[in-house]
Amino acid sequence: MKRAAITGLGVICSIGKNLEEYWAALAEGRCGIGPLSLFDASGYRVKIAAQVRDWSLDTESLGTMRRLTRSDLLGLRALEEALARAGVEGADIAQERVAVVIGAGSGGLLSAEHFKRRQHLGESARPSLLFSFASAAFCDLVALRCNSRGARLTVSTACSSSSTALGVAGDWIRTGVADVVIAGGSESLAETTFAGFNSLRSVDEAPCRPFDRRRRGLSLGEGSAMFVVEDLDSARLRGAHVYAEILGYGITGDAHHVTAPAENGRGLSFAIEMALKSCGLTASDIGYINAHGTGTPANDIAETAAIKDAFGDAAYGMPVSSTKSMIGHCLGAAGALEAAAAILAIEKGVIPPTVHYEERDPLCDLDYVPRPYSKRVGAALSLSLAFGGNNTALVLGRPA
Amino acid sequence: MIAVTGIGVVSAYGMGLEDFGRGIYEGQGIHGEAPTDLARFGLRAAGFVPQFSTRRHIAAMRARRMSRFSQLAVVSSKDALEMSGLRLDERSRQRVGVVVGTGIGSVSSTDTFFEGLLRGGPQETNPMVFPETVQNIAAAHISIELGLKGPNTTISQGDCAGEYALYYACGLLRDGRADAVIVCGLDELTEPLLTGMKALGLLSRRGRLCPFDLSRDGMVPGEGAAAVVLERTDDARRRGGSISARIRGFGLISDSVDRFSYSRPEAMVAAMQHAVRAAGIVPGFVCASANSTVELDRAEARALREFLSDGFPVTALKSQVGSFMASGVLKVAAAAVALRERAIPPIFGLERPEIEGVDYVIGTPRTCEAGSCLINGFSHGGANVSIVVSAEGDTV
Repeated sequence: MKRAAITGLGVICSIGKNLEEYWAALAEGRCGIGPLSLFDASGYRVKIAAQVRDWSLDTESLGTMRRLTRSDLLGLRALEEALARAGVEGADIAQERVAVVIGAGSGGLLSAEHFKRRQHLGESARPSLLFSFASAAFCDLVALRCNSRGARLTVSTACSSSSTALGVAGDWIRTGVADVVIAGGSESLAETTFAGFNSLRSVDEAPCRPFDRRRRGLSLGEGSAMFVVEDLDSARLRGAHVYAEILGYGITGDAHHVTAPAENGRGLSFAIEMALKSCGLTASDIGYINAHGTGTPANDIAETAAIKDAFGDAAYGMPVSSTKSMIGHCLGAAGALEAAAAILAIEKGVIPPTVHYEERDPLCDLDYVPRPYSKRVGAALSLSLAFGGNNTALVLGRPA
Repeated sequence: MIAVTGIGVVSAYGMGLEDFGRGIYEGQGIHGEAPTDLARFGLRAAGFVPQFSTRRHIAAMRARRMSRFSQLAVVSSKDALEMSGLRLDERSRQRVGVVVGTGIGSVSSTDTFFEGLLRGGPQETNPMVFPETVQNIAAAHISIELGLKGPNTTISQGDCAGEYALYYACGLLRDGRADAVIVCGLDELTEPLLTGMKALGLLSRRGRLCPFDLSRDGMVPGEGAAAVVLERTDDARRRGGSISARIRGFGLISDSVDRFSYSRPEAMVAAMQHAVRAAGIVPGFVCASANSTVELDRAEARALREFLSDGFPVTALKSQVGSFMASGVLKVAAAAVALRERAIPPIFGLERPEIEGVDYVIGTPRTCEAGSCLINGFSHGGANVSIVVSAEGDTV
């Protein structure tokens, strides 16, 4: 059986513009949530988000790609870093054996809003503003950049998209669908999404503070994390550094409500069980859980219940943290960015904290890691929930 | 080995598999009434789904809260599950998954929500509409309405969103994450989508739908939802389920091209070869991806000419119902009907083929004794999927 090794990893988000910066900020507990300036937020109750600031992209790497949206550019920047780290580009790999699996976010929504706004004002609008609107647009761009001629898949389940995408990437390596899979997700803030979460009163005036008795949340964010995944043996053969292994994943539906998770978290605990079973691990093999942890009342209680359900007494000794307290909820990129945070625990033995956490809630009574600490982690679980009751549990491990 | 045990369809031919099955032999689905002034978009007709009632499928209060997009998904999925005869209890519901394929989701919901914002600011946005803007909303409603708690996901991959949803679902069954999966492929045709397609120059200027024809000049859009229930063939046989078709093999070879270009013929040939090799059977006819655009149809015809020896009839579903991205599941429904009826539906609108050397089915349905079919989903952006589908008994 082949094994799925992560050999390339690239990141951009509000607290770091590459993997080192990101990991350093996570280890320090730095928060990237602040005033939103991407569009005029003055009319909204909430005026904050985890926006990426002061960044650019080396235009040479774009080749013939044109008319890109903010989300495409964030993603392509993370992709460049991932490819450079993997050193995969000179390697002798058939194009038909290179696949792409992307978790979609709002994609070209921000640009489509410009189109629609101009039309609304009776001004002419460039059609190219719509180029990235269909969800698969970023996946196609990544395939073009990597000269991929293999399988290509876009998972479009909003907040759990890129977590599922990484699970699929692992499966595709193990089952021989491809020799290399480029995977991940990218998201940019957009006014529709911001207004939508505002209208549902799902966003908070104060920065996200998950699992606390006086918890706040959620805060929206943006960014991208991109991965190069390949067979472990061939990666070692060519001397590539292996960051972590994708061990397996579980995926379920709550069949409960379009925006709220099932109160008992049962759908999520099934996903955790499915994930562990898919790689033959048990709860005792997991050393860290990167929680979905949005900070909303419904999420944090359901998620805590699910972890207790799946882990039993072992839940109480388990570090469970929400990095959304630092990078916000990056929707389509959330799963990928949070997997990259879990890999910090696996690779460096640093458990990233839940910042702003102060006071224990009787219904949320696990170790939520108020301050970062060191622990050797052999395997970690990353949890993602989405609108529609989608649950994904991703298992990452230290390659033996 | 995967079996199709239930099919539900809401198409330009109306509600249900029977109307669709009749329609593809008898008439063009794009000539129904249009809810939109098509002249504004330079079109004479488009493949709209006729007005449909959700009364038999969804409780009125819940139907009112759903977008039409979600309603299409639930109605087709419920019909598919009913046809499968699967009897589900609390335990087995955890083992039934939902995979939706959609190219673009509910554009009209996104448009309505943003329109509210433009007109009245943040206070005028409708919180009921926002959840309908996310692409996974249809899979959510299917799972809620049918109580299905297994794997739940949504796949969006341009014009092969339906084909890739089928591929992903087969994987869930193969690796034991589910015992049955409902795969629903759907896209909706609404004014905001037409506006976008027109702006991007994707629509036929003459409003003529004629795949492979010399005079073709762009897409005539359509819409629809098709759902299938998939099970492992052994499981389906063991429980005495009726098998409409079997999914035998996939070919997933893309090309790296610009976002609005289609694959070159070589990659299409490779996709078809991979599917046939994986299936281990030679299909008897082809359900093409052709969508009446100059580029796709030319590349696909060249690929078909190279790949097929003589005597392999080719049909094109989009000539019947118009173009929509996640039409892959509807192609499976069409293939199942054609294999059952032993007749291949014709390509409407095709009079003078641009590329010779391909056996196009023109004019009237063609009798066909073959037990299997090759389905192509070739997308802008270069992603290609080919699938071999066979009749239940076909083992050759």
